[in-house]
Amino acid sequence: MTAGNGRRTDRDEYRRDLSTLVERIRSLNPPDLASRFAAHCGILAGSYQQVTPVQEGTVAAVDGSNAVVVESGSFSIAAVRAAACGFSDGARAFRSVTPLRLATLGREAQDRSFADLYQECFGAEPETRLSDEDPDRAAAVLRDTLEYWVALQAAERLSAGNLLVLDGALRVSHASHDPVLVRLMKTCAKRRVHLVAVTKRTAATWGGGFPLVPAAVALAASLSIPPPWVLPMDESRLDTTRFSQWKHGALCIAALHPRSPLAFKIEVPAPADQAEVRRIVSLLAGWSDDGRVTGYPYPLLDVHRTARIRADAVQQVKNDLMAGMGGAGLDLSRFRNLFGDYHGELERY
Amino acid sequence: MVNLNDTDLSDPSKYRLIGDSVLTYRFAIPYQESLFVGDILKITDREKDLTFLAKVTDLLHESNFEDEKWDRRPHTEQFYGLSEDVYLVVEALPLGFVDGRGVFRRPRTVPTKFSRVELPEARDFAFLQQVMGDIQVGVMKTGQGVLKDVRVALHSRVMPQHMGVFATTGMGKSNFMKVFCASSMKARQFGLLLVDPHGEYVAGKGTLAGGQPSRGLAHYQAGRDGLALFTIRDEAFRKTYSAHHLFLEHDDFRAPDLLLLFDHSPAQREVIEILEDTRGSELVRFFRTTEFDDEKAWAAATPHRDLARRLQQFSASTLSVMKRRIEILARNNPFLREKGSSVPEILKALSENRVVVIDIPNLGERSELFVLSVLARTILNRHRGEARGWGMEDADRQEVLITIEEAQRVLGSGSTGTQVFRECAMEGRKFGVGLCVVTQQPKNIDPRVLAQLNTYVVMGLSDRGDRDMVAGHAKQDLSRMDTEIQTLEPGEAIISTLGIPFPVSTRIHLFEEYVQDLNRETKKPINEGLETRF
Repeated sequence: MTAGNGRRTDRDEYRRDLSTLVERIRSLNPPDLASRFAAHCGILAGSYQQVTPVQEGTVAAVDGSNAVVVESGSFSIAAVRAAACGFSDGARAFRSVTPLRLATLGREAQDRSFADLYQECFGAEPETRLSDEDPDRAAAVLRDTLEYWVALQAAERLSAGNLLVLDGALRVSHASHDPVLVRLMKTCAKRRVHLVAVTKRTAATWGGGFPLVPAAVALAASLSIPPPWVLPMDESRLDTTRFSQWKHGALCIAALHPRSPLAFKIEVPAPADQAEVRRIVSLLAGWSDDGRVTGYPYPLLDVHRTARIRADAVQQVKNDLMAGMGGAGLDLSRFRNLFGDYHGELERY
Repeated sequence: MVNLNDTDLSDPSKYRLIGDSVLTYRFAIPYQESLFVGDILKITDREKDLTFLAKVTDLLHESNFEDEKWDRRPHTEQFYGLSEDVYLVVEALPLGFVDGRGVFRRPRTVPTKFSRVELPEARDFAFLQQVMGDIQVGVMKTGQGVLKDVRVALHSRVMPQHMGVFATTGMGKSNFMKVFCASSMKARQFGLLLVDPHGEYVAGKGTLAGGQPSRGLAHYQAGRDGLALFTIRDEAFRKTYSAHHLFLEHDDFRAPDLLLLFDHSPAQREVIEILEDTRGSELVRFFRTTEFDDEKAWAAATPHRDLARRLQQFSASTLSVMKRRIEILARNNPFLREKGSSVPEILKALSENRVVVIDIPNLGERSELFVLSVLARTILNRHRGEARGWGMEDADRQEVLITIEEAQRVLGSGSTGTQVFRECAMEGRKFGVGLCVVTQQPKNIDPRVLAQLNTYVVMGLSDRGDRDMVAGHAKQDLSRMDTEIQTLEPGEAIISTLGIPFPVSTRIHLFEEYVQDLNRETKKPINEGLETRF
């Protein structure tokens, strides 16, 4: 439909886009999704391994958090921290958290924020420098640095048969972390501590763009396989493998609670022993029955809440920064000149 | 080296003050903690060296979760680590604070943020002993328990400023009144009049829950001097309990007493007003001896010329109704006779600060109201006359408290013919006459009367209208204690009175146990008060 001058109306353009989107999403969920997934990835009913939830030993989880406190045009100030929480006998056994660490981003050559933090954590210079181009990514790398260090401390704390859960993947996003992840995996292996990384949301696809996890869930449902289950995946059947040089995990899909529709991509150190995978998923499922996040490992929720830098904490840092600048003879106008911009002004309207 | 700090897994965030204002406090306690509405808590402010006291008025489930429906989603049978983020918020009513010198003050400031909240001990209430009175009625209650060492006692000096006792059936009104009477017998600071149409106050009636016989005021042997009994029962009963035979004589009666007992037409009310000052004996004689069959002739035939002149304007039928009512009055009240009255003895006993019980079992409501009306009018007139005649100072004044059970009958908003009780309520305190208004329907009491009461004894009230009425008129704020009033158990009361700085939750003594304790107290030596020297 067109307006009198032959142009489509605003509403028509919006509806056309919406319709296109729905069609694209529908094409990702064909009626025969389950069978196509089974055929494409070579999955049989026996590929799904059902497990029994158990709570034994200690399950520890590690997570980190980062937040940009203020931004000027040329650099930013970020806050990062990481935490570890351990659970045994149905309750939290320990909770450890780093202080809130502050860093400048975008001035790595001058300030060495990343290099110094890395040095503090691992006693060595990072093999790769941090790029100044993307402050958000830089903050995430700083967070990962703390997170890996906390994971190492947690691994040292656990004993044989315990499980260490990372939030994310057994794959690094910055080259300097690769030796750290290897060190973590070796530490776990040496101490016979199980290690797993759980991804809340994955970009993995198959068959030219079909999302992986929904397909695995659909196939399990069509085969009448109730959770908890784990499905080891042959990654060669997936569409892409990003940063494969920094990848150390074997990929599986796991559903952890019979009453939850959720499933997750998990990674265990490769090469994966099937009994080891089943044991890990049993331990994860044993802690995935919390009513708030049924189907998600509760230790990960707990550590996420422990590490999370909330808006009030960011505001506190901002206030402290202003006070610190004031103490150093830099008044509020200097703060505004450096970090004030019209984004803040616009938010008020 | 980066620090990694193990955080303390114990939780210091609970039991510390987090808000709100001078008028209300809030703090969190663990979600599985047992705390009860009515519990009294101590808030220790170390910064200001003050100890605040507050009463729990409500408990609310709260959590730190942004998802308000976290606890009602599907599959929510298992939760880990609830104790940190799920808690009970306690709302508490500030009662006041004790300063560094141990003086209790009204809550005009707030405790410092995060002051610790604790359960108090009996010694924390030591200051209360300084403000308690001499009419003991129970022990202080806190939530589900009691503080045995903290006795709750009303001040006898405020009793003539009227008292209200409010409770639904079965909540312990009678037990409270008996305890109150026993303490009044012991203290002997004012006269207390009580008309008992059920025959339960003298010797008790029926059995207690445990099967033991119920006791009466006569069983308080050590305080027997403080009791005067007037009864219509037989001689054996009178001998057993040293009771007087109750009589009222015709002259004790006045025409307005009829207003309380019968419904009257406007014409009949006019007759009563005209006869207001006529002596009762003359009224009885006139109506008994005069027949009003003939509309014209009765006035000429009666020897009571003065009354005939005043009443001849009324129709014979109106006067016939009045005649019938006076005959009913004389016939149905066996204690009413031509000559010989107990009233002087009753007044004397009251002036001696005794508890006077008028025991008239099985006589019915009209007799009870008749006796009450006669005695209340007589007492008020006498006190009024004494105050006028002698210009007595407050300190010299005799004080009397008149108990009116089921007071809504005579002190309701719309009731007519209850002038004497209204006068007692509105003016009585000037003359040392107070009312003890006992009712289970305070909402049916005239709000102007409620506003005159300076002592409120509130026992369980299930009706919201009743609770609102009480809360709206008490001198201390009871509105925040609504939940507690709703949940009071039999024998428990909230007492708001002058002299005690805040409304006190009280477990009323069980009368039978209280009397046993009182009787155990050391009796006064027989020669006390006698001259021991020549």
